[in-house]
Amino acid sequence: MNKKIAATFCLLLGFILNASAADGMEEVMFHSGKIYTFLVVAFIVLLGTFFYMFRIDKRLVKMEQDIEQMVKRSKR
Amino acid sequence: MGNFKKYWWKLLGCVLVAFSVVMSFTTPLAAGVAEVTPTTTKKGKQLITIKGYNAHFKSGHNRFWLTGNHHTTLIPGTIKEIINENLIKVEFDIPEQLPSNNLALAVQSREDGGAVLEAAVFVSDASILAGMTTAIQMPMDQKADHFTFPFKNILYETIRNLNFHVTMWFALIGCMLISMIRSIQHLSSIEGLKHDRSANEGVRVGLLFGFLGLITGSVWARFTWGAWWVNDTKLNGAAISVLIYLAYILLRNSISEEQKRARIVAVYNIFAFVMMLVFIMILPRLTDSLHPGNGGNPAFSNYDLDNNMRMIFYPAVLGWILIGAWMINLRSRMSHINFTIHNHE
Repeated sequence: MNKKIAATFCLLLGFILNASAADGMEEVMFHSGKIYTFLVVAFIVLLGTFFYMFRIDKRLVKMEQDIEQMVKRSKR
Repeated sequence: MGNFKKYWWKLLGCVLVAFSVVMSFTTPLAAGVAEVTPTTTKKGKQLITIKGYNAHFKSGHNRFWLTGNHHTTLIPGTIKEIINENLIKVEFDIPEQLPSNNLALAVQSREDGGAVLEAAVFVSDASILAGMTTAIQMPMDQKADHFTFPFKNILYETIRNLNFHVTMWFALIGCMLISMIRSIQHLSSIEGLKHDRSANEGVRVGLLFGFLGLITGSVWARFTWGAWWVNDTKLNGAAISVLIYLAYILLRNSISEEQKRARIVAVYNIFAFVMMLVFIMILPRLTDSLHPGNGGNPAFSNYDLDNNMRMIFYPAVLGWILIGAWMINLRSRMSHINFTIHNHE
């Protein structure tokens, strides 16, 4: 019984929050011929590419350190 | 955070490119004159229909003139009918004496700044008095009160491509410069192939930007000039430059002995860079060219690239060069690790 009340309460809360949060976001996204929607999409693509490069960079740093260890060990 | 010294320029590249992308998409175009009808008219009271772009003709803050002799002869217009924000009918009382048959149409708006359409109206029965001016003078180059990109009649919104197409070519030159420096370093170092490997990766990353520049330029050309390719000095020069660097890759593959290959290819790389500069930058400026920025093409030249555009364009160029440098850095390190692993055992 308590679970049902909690579930209904969450559902209603969700609707209320959704109604007010959507207005602000929608206003921006639908304004100016939806250019801002396009911008967000392009931005996501761009940031995704940069994060990918950043991850490769970090992996290379680790590989370089491993190689240094390997070279040091074999020179001993 | 001790590593920040090592990667600050990579972060800067990302920030600058992201900034230029956001501004390229969200900055509006300045108000301009898209079309004027009729294009041929006679002297006397004439009703001219003016089609604007991003204009606000309903605001009541617009003034119109037909101008001649570089905006020193001014014929004021009376607004007869405002159809919508971008369509208006204005009446001009065209006198008999004019400095030339071709009159420009100029708009001045308090919010949107000034806009001019050159050679908008041809007055067939004017009597020419070259060099005449009128008593009233108005500055025709007022700026809009908000941040805008310049309006150019052939380009319209594609002027935003400046931050994507042209930056690709600058990234190409940046990458090839790095590659050439590595080649010089290789030739002046005693042994080792580290610089040669970096030079190789530099050429490969540069070629990526070269191809992107060619493709983006082709698409841009198709929808502004009407053709995917024209026989134009700059375009041919750019294609030749890319071919020169493809030949670098071929040259590398044709020599199997490592030390000899590195030396020959390094010399070739230095010449390749110089030739690229000749083909892309020097030759196009010496001949007539359809391509903007060269050969007297009125589409846009350095004088039309206004300060707003420069504020976005220069950071974008630097950003993409840094991104190119980062890509070369990553690939060089990969190549070096590969070499170390294979030559260690």
